[in-house]
Amino acid sequence: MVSSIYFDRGDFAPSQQDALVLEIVSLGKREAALLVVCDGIGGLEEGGYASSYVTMRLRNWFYDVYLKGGRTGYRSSRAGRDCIGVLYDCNRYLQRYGKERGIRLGTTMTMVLLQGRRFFREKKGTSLVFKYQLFHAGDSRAYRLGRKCERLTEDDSYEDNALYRCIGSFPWRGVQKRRGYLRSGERILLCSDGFWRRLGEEELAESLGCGRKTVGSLGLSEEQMEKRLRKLGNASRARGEKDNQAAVLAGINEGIYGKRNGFGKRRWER
Amino acid sequence: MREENCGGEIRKAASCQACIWFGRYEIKEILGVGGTGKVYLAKDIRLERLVAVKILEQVTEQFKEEVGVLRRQNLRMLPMVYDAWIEENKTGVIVMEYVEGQNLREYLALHEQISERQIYAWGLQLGEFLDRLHGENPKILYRDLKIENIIVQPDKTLRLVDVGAAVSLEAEQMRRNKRVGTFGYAAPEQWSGKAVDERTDIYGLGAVLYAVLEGEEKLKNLVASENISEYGRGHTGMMRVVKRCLKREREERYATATAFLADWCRYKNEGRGKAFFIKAEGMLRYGFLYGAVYVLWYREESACLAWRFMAGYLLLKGAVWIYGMRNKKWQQEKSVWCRGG
Repeated sequence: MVSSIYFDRGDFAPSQQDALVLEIVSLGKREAALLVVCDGIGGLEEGGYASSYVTMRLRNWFYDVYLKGGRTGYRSSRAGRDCIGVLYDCNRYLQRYGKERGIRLGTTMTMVLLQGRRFFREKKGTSLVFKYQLFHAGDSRAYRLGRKCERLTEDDSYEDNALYRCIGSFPWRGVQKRRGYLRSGERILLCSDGFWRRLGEEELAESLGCGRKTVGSLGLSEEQMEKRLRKLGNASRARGEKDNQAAVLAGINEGIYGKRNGFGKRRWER
Repeated sequence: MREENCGGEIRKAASCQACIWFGRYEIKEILGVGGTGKVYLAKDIRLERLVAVKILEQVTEQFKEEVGVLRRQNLRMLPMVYDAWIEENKTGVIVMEYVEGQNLREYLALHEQISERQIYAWGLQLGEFLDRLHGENPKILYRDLKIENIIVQPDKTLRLVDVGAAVSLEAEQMRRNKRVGTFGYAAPEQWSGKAVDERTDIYGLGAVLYAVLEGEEKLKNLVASENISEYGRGHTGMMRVVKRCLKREREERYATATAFLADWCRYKNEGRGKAFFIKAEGMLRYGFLYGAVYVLWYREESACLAWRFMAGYLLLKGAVWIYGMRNKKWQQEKSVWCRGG
């Protein structure tokens, strides 16, 4: 798995209210990863506190609960339920915290849990596949970049960009959930609104390497990913974006395994 | 004895044989000279005990940081501070506990071979120290972990001296682009004057352990060649942990001293259990081969001993496999956590 991040406060923003987490662990040939992007709301330090708190809780859950489930972690349905439990606790804590201080604080939250290592048989051979689970509340976004750029989340906001769902500001309203598979050559991008707002999906797709040749190809290296994210962030700034920016990009770069040669026998290659 | 109150004047101890400084401290010898100041061995004539007196020629913010760190009671590896003040001519003075023992560099020069158990204990001590240091509020970074700053006491435990480079993380973030540290022990981001964090100290810890395992010269060659993939031979489990501490990219190092300690203990324990199984397996393997040859060559069905050897070997192989599978733990490949508040 290859990954990269982009994290920028911006010259004009008074404080950094975004937070992000990227954790990748391995056990032999198995891998698991946690990707989180949060954008705090509530103004100044409170927003930053809310986003830091939620990322800290998710990170602690990942290491203290999820990975301790054993070699295979535990069943993905249970992991999903536990995640939602943690988010519910965070929502309750932030509400209580805000009430005690007479402020209203919260954070958007987009989280992806990547797990497992499977081989998916296709006509051309076998490709490496990860299962992902996505949880989302707010207006940060998640994209899957493969043959095309596919948005995985809906914005929890009205037309005037006012949020109607996030972690902390409202009583619990649930989170968006989604599951799927990430195959060789595909990537997942999580980003806050300060990153995606001035960029179109076509621009993201072109810059981060979407296309027919992407799946099964060698893909981007981590340095290339970092450069391209920075380039997108700078492009957004050049168009007048002043908000904090946070983005996490992770994907699988290994090529197709087990192509069949002319005699129908499998020849393993990367 | 002629008493001479030198006050804030800095004189060489040799030229001031019966020199009493500040009305109380009789200077015996100079212990060391650093970038920030000089350290003298002195005798407190009131309390009749040996102390170390550090004179800083110019007081900066670092003086307050240093005193602040030394004052903390729970950092037992550091010398205790007895007194600290600033003279009229802006010279800073810190009087602290004198730590008896040998500098780690001298110790390594005198002892050719140090046991794995000793190195493991030292790694544990240093890791726990960093864990406590980074757990302080605000977080403190040591920034100058090297073998000259480590004293090996007569009971072979370690103490750290010279916190001249220690700073709280908040103060460090305000003062970026200032290069602090020693070549070979300073992390790449520290040496190039970039922002530092706990992982910088993890690098220093890895450098010290590498110097203990393989020698300081090899460490400096390794750093200069930028090729961390060249391991040393032997101490394989420990070397894997040390290699991870010495990664050039900080995202690839251990994120915290706690993570380092978890792996350090695990490799040690794994090594112990594994070594036992490997030895036992080796012994039975010969028995298995002997038994197999005996049975196949002589075709004796009543070769009970040979069959027992073979069965025992297969059982042990199974046990080793199960032990390995059960004790496998997740390994951290990358850890990034960026936040503002």
